[in-house]
Amino acid sequence: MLRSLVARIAVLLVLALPVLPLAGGLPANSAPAGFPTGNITLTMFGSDEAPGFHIEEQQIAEWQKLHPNVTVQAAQTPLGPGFQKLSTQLPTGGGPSLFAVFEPWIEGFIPYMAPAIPAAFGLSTMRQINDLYLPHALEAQSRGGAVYCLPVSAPSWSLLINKPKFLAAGLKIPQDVPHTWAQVAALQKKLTKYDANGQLVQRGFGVRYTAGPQWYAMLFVASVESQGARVLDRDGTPLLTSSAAVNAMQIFKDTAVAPTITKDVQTSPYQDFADGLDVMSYGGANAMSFAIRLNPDLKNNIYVSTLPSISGQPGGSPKYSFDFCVNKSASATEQFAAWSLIDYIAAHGVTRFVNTGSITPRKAVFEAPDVKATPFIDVFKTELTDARPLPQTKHWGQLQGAIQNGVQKVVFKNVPIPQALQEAQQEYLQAIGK
Amino acid sequence: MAHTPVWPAEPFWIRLRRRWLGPTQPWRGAVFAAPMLALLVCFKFWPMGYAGWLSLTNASLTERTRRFIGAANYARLARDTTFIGALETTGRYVGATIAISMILGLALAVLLNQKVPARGLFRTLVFLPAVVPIIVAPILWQFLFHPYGLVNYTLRALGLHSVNWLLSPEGAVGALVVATAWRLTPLCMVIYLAGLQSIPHELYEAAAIDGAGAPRRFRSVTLPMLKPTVLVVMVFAITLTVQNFVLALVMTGGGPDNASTTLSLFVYQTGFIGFQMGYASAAALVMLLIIVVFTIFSLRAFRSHEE
Repeated sequence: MLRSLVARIAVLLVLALPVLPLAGGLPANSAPAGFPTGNITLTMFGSDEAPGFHIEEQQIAEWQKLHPNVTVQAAQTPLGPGFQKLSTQLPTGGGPSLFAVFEPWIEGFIPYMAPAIPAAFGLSTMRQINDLYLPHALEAQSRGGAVYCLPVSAPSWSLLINKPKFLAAGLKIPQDVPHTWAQVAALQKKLTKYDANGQLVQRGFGVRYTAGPQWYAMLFVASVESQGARVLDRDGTPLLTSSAAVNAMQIFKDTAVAPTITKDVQTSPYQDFADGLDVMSYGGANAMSFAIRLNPDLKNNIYVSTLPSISGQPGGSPKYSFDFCVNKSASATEQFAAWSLIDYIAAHGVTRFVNTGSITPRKAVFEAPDVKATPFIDVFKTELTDARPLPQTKHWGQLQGAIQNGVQKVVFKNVPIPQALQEAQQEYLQAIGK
Repeated sequence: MAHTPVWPAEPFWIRLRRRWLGPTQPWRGAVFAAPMLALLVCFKFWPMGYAGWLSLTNASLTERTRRFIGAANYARLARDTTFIGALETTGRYVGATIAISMILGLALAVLLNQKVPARGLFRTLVFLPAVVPIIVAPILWQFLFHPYGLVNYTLRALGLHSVNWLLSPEGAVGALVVATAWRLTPLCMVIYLAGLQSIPHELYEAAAIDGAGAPRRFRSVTLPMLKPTVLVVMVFAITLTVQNFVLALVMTGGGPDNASTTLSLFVYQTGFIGFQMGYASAAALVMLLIIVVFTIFSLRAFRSHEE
């Protein structure tokens, strides 16, 4: 009798096992069949920002309990220095087994990255990996149907509003919340304040000119694309002098109020918003979390709306992410283990979100009660879906530099927009050697 | 009968060797020098040679293959307005920084070479900027150069106009010069101090007996005796300033509109942001050439004075 029962259960298990992965039913992070045996050492360039790094450490420790044969040597690596190290290590066959990248780097590093191994996720096809994520979330990370990186933080931008200061200016929420950049510019006068010494103490909206060129280069690109235009054509030729580019550049000119008065720096890009200097700012859910950590008084005092666009329609935000990728030079067993670890970290995106506000664009994350209960989560999710992808080019650095200089010409040197764009176009071509 | 030297006393190759390598050393000297020579070859000369080779190729970090393109990268540099602008900016930045650091460093060294109370403490305090971590310095100066920061506050207190330091083409290079000089001056001062302390005191006493006042003693004793030290300071300051890029990277990012892009920042941006290692190597070699030319020029200028 007992023997018969055991035999039946065994038969059922044998039948059920192959079906489970096909249905996507195996919970991610369970030890997939075929996980390599023997001692494996993974090296990793991870986050350096607290509390992100501590969460990664904790997740790595949890994952190692499932795979005691793997040792993970994770180094806190700031993105900038990490980029320099990867730039020199990867082409020479070196570098860590897995590493974090900023999405625009993917095209440059793709020759040195290993594609995802579905079996490491407990899945059987690349399509099934895609299905774990929001629509289009893995487009920039995929080449020829293969996924090369997985985003763990996708901070497409929304408009963040300091509610008390907005209301104090006699404005109403949501009636007066701007949906176009022209409306943002119009609100500047109402929200800008100077003290008795003539020093700026508040303005409506501020672009982060001192926290890195990405803050305005990506806004420029998304604003061009939201008009149905592009910044590069399919051959990579720049289209920076189009009328859409002129409209995008107008955003910077129209919204600039004392742009040199700022305490935003690369390591603390939301400082002006946290200090109350900027009543409105831009960023993802992580920006809201970051600003609240800088100024706890902002808790429950931030209103979030979709990022303004030129037309007022959603879709004015850039789609970008911070991803984990695997080194092509790693051995097959290391690659398998590395993808398994990345899957574990991505599948536990809720922990990251709760602690840092960084959204992992995985469908399951948005089903978690903690995430569902987060104020404005629907706005952030919609933003992720509507956001405009950045061009996939090996010359992102040069493109960003040319746009940066174009914007700076307009904002800081008062150069006419068409001339600034013409010069940006020339600068880009010169920088790529054409 | 006195021995009269016959010219040429030694074969040409021996004189050449003596001129370039110095007096003949026993073989043990070579043994002691070998480890350092090996390190220099591995980590200095070989990478420099490799960069020289890369500068003749279209090497890119995003491509696995590279092609020999001769001097095309150098020809491109000659046409590149960003590179030419960087050269110009570097000239202004290095010239102003070195002038300030060398003069101020000398003044401080002369001052702190006097027997003043708490001299050791003052020397330590003055030297502090040189030991501030390189990444802290630009962040500190970003705050000091804020439009409402301490620098502008001081300017206003003195009745002067505020300056838009970091985001104006006029102010950005000035801000870099001040921040770099702040770090470099104490280093120059320490070298000058060592030079000042090696000047025999008897010379000052003799000059004083001859009726020379302090300014005259400085002009006729200190400065001539300090010439070799000035040469060291100058070569050291040129090399450090031309190569320095962290301050520009963090404080201004080369902006606004490339106004503060120095040569070293151009090399970094081209190689590590633009991935064009061949082109960046060519620019780096031009930078090396500039440093070498200035060093040779300084050596020759001081040698002619000695003669």
